[in-house]
Amino acid sequence: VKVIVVDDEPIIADTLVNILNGEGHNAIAVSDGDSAIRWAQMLIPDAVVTDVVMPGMNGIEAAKAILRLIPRCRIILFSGQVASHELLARARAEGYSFEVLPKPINPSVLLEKLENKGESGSPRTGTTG
Amino acid sequence: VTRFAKPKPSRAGSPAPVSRWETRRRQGHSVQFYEHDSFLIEELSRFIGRAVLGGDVAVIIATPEHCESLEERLAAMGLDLSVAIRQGRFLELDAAATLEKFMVAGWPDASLFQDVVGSAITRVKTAGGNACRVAAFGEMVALLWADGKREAAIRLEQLWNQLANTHQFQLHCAYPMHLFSAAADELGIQNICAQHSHIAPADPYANLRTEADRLRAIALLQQKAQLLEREIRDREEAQAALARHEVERRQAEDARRHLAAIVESSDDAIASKDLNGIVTSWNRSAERLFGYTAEEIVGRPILLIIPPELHHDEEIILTKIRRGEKIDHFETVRLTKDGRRVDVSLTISPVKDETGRVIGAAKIARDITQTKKIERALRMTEKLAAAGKMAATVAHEINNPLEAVTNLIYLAKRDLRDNDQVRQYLELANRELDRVAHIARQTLGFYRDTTSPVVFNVNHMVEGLLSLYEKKFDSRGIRVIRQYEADVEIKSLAGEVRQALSNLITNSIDAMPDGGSLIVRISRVHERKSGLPGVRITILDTGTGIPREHRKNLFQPFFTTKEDVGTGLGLWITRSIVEKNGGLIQMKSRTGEHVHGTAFSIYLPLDRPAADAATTGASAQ
Repeated sequence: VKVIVVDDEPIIADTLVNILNGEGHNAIAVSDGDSAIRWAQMLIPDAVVTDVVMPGMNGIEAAKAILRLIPRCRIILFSGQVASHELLARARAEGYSFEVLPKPINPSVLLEKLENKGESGSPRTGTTG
Repeated sequence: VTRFAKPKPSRAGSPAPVSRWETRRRQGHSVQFYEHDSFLIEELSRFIGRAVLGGDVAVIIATPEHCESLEERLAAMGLDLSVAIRQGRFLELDAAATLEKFMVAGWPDASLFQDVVGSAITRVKTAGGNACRVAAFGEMVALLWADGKREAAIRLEQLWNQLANTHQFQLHCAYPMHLFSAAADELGIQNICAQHSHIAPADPYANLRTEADRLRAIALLQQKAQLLEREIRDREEAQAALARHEVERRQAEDARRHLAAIVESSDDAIASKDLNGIVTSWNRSAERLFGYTAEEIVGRPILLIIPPELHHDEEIILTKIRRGEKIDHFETVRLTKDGRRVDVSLTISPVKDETGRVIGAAKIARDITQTKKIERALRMTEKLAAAGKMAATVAHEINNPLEAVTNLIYLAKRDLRDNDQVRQYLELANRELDRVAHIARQTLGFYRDTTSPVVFNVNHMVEGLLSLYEKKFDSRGIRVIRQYEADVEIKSLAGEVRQALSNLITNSIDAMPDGGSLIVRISRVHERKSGLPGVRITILDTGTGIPREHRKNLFQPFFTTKEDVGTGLGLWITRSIVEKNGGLIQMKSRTGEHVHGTAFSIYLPLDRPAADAATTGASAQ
């Protein structure tokens, strides 16, 4: 599976990529939302695993932009703080239904999520635009 | 006197004639006023003596005393009454007994009078022969008058006058002057005089020898009458003034009672004391609040309810009161009779006498124990709210390293055979755990409840706080600029100061949602007023600034512009912490389009003053 991992903390992004690649996925790490969108345009990933609260564009904005480009792309959000609830609620009001996994995530849970295609992580409402 | 013409014997010609009882006439009804019985008896004996000696007849209706005196006097004049009595020409009747014979229900009955008195006169007249004259004396009217039956007396005078239509007699009545000593008796005398053909004034006048004496006496009497009238007028005025005064006094008394009732029923304790601090009054609420009854404490020093360590307060209060100054809402502690301490808010006003001299103080004490409890609860609420905010921040700061460590452990397990690789993972994990430990330390420092001042380094404290919020600065795009002009150590309540600084830093972060600069300045200063050495910490942001209309409420509890996240207690707590530690807080803000932002500046003394001095100084100003 082609995966883009987005986190402003390089150590998190790097270790996750290491883990995913070790399990046979094809993952790359980026550290902000803008980079995530640029790489998504080039790679057309199957999934994006992204932090929510980041400097500059946040994970949810990035996820929305990526879904507009690649509607079938799976989005997995993860966050270390409560404040992300507000961002999520705003996204829900716009018609997006994202699930957020709390940090720290057990890597095996993440791997399972990635392998269970079509379950959580994909947008439940249409975002074809 | 002799150089003037001899007093004329003619009665009609004299303005001040001698007044002697007339015996020449057959008919007449005179009245004699008298002061002394001796004068009356003298006149009466002359009148009767002349009648008896002249072969006429006499009827005397008098009191037993007067009858006896008359007989004695006539005997002394050498008159033997026994002959006249025997012949029936001299008749003595007891006034009271005679009166009783014709009085019916307190009123003289006309026909009974005719029977009783008329028949007596007829009897003596018959005894004396048709040619003789009748000399009569009566004082039944005086008895009625003395008895308060004045209308009956006048009626009796009228009956005598009617009797004169059928009988001929020369009648003398007599009234003692003392019966007419009231102002209202003027009318009585006039009524009596109206019933008589001749009026004889009392002895002081009648005894005067010459006409000149009598005229002088009249002039003096007129002067006395005028004097009396004047005195009566004065007295009436004085009485009116007295009545007015009495009304005013009663009104003042009513007002006093009214005020006393208000004071007594007030929920606030109200007491007064003199300038020596001795209690002079004590209302019911004061009894309730402090436990002393008014009887127990009035007359004793107010120091009884002041805790020993605050006794110097009383001197400060009394000094202010002596200067005529008022003390408003001075929050302090007082002692109850059973030794409990109550938080009170005192308002003390000087009490002045009518000349404006301060003679004591009135004090109103409000029990603010409950308010203080609520304030403490609010402080706790804010602490908890701050803790909540902190927890959210800390969660983020801790969860990220934990995520990294989780991943690193997963990798270490996966690559277990590659020792170098595993060591690298573990070293990275170690570094991440150090981050967690650092954050935990910072957070704990926050909530360590310090109750006694400690020496700490302000710069280190500020640095610790900044590192705690580092991630937040990064995610918001806030640049932190440190301007530390000195490295300062102070002695203060470290936990509280940290909370105050943290409040200001988080406020600044909230003011810059879209990034900006946070300038933190630390400098050594001397406080302008007191000159005390201290530290000034300035937290300046380039946020939106505080609108002018919000500035005055900024330090009030529950004032917030951040409805979602704020409790409205942060700045209120911050100021109370700063002031409690002997410091000052100031705020400057600009909301211009190009220049905007807010600066909070805290001054703290190098050495925190003792708790009580700090609070007393602040609130007694």
